Amino acid sequence: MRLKIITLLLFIAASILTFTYPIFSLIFWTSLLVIGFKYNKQLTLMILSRVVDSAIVLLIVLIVTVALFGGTIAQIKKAMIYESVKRTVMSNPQLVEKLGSKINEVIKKLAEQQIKAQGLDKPWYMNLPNYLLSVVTLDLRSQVLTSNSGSRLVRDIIMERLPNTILLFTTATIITAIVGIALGLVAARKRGSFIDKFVTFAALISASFPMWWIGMLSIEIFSYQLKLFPSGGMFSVPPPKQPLALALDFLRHLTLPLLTIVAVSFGGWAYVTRSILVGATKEDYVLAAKARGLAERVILIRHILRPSLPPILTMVALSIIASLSGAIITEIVFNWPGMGLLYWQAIETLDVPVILGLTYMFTLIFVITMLILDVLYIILEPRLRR
Amino acid sequence: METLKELLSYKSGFIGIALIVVLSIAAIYSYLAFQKYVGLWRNTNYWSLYPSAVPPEWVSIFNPSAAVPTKFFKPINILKKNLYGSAMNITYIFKINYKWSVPPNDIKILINATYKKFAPAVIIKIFGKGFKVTAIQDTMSNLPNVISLNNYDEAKNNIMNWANLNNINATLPTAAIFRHKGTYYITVSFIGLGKFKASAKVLMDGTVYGLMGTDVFGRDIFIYTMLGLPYGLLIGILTSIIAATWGTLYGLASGYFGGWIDRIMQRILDVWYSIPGLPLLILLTILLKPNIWLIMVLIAVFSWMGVAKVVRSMVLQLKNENYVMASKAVGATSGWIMIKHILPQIAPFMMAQVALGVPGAILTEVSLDFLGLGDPNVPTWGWMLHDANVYGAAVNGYWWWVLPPGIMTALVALGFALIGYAMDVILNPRLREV
Repeated sequence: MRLKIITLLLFIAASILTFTYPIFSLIFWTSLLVIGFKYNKQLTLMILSRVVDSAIVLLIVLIVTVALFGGTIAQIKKAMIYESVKRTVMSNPQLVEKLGSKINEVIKKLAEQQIKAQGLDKPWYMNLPNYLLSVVTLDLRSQVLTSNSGSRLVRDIIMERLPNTILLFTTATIITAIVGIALGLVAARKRGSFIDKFVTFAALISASFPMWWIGMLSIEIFSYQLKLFPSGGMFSVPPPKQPLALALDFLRHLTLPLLTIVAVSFGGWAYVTRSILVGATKEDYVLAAKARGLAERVILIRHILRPSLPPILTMVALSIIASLSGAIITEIVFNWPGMGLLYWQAIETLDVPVILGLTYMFTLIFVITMLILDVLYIILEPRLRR
Repeated sequence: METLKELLSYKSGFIGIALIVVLSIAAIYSYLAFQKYVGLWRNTNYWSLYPSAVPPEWVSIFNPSAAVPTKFFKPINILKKNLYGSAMNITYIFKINYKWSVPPNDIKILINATYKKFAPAVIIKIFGKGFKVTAIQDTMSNLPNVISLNNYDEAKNNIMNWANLNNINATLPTAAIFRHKGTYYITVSFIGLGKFKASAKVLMDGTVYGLMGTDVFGRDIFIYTMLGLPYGLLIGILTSIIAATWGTLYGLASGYFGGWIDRIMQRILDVWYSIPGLPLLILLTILLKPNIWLIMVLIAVFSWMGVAKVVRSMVLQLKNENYVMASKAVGATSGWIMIKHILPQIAPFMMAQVALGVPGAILTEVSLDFLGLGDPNVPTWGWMLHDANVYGAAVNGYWWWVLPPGIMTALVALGFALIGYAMDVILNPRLREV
């Protein structure tokens, strides 16, 4: 018991330090590893191999994106540089007159200088180690976009948007999970009831309607026709000064996207929860428990809910992942200044460093969720633990 | 065949199959009927003839006197008169029985003339109760083929001058002319020397159009909603088949060969699982500017993993069955065993996976088009929604532009989801209701 508490504390300390002082956190991670190896070698090895897996995924995605950009985007960028140099030279009539017929040569020379300065003349794999390191630490300079405070550091830009996405989607996922799982539980217990039918119906809506389309419709109905909610954004322009008014304004902006996300996704949750539970009630050991005359409540908790927990947890994690990548379009529709909208803005302006940084962030979130999921699975599944 | 029968015995399976059958028939019909409109998808010139962003005709039941339909008029009479010598006058007379309290969006006069040397003169006059106005008096060579009373300067100026002289308060020519219910006549006269041929038609751009209205370019939303159907089905099914086939092959190989091959393939699968699909898909479509076929492959690349996992776990069970062992003992090759003994067993699962994969594939494709990243030459529901979003359908309340593509997408996805659910229940007997 004491060991568990120590491990947990070490883990929390290590996780927090990773984000603040990564170097110091190494001490905690190693001590965690040592404890793990001493008391449960197999489990530690399992988790360690998953961590290595995740690192490999990150590395591969990074290399692939950098390679993609190295090839194609370098060409686009070169053309863009050439065009901009040409425009600056041509917009100066005195210079044009002075250069005469040599003008094209001069433009080419100037463009090549800039290309060299940005390191675009080298093949992409020469830039790889440099690029990777700066992407991993998000230590890149954006080319077009800036943060609200005017910073051009990709880290600042992304970190400014990250809380917005989390505010909307984490809240939405939590609400959806609570509503969905609760409904699924009721539906599984009272099969064939009205709630059961409603769950199936809601699940079909979840599976077939695009979330952003429902978003478009709800904007048309609730903000333009009924004028109940604002049509997008996070705050009014200009935002109210008083803190209370500001909070209310924020809530007003949050309501419509939040309701849309919950309305579209809770059905799927309820249906899957129901299927898992219904599947579990048909297990032989449930029948055996019933035959032994155990109380209904005991059977429900011990024999049905407990083994159903890991798959439901999978669903929770996978939904968070799905919501983060599906968030791109929903954020665009609601003009919600999160990472999804930023990704779109970066793509529209071909801001390569921001695209790279965001792809890395998306992958990181994805990978970490998967990792946590696996570790939870290992902890919850007794057969895997020993 | 057995599976199909069983599928039909389930309510959801029956509804799903019925839905897909109906949609497929509608898809074939609309492709045959509206094929020529595929090429006209981006041809804004062609559609500029029709009224822009007007609701469907059936909204007239709410306010019949304000819903002016869009309609072509044929001449009620064609007068041919020989003038002095070789000169000739051909006059087309159109009659408009106007019974609406609001003016039409526009009146367009379509003229066409073939002549040898001298372009004939064209005179367009409009007659109403107690008035007469000359809209056009010009030679054919100066005139476009489509004369819009509201937008062609000469006609607009002539009518507005007449309106000012008569103290008629109106901002648009059509509003100045169609102030009352009643009968109006439009005459189009061609006067020329020598032999010439001429034709004329009148198009009244109403405030409503067809079954589903038009978008801002004047495109018929009904036609493109229907045309989206064959493309939507094709994209959804083909993408899902590609993904399921690859997933099956992968799972089969991984499960059957086992050992280190399995371990490596599972590692790759895990890695693939952890790749965020949509962001990379967006990135790839921007870089590759793919056509519709490549888009299907790209979507499939990010959606085969589930199938592979299911198939592998099944193969792991199947390969230890007695009959597989027996055929191995008689010297059957791996390929033979896989094709003859294992594939038939997993085929129904593969079909269920295809059905379950369609909604995701369609929704992904629609999303890509919605972002403006898809194949621009293919009229899909995603592009309709993209245009609706870009041209402010929500702000302007163009509900007839937003609803049909979304509902159709959902119907196709729904049909396959229903089939998928039913197959899931059939193949996992534990989910069956007692």
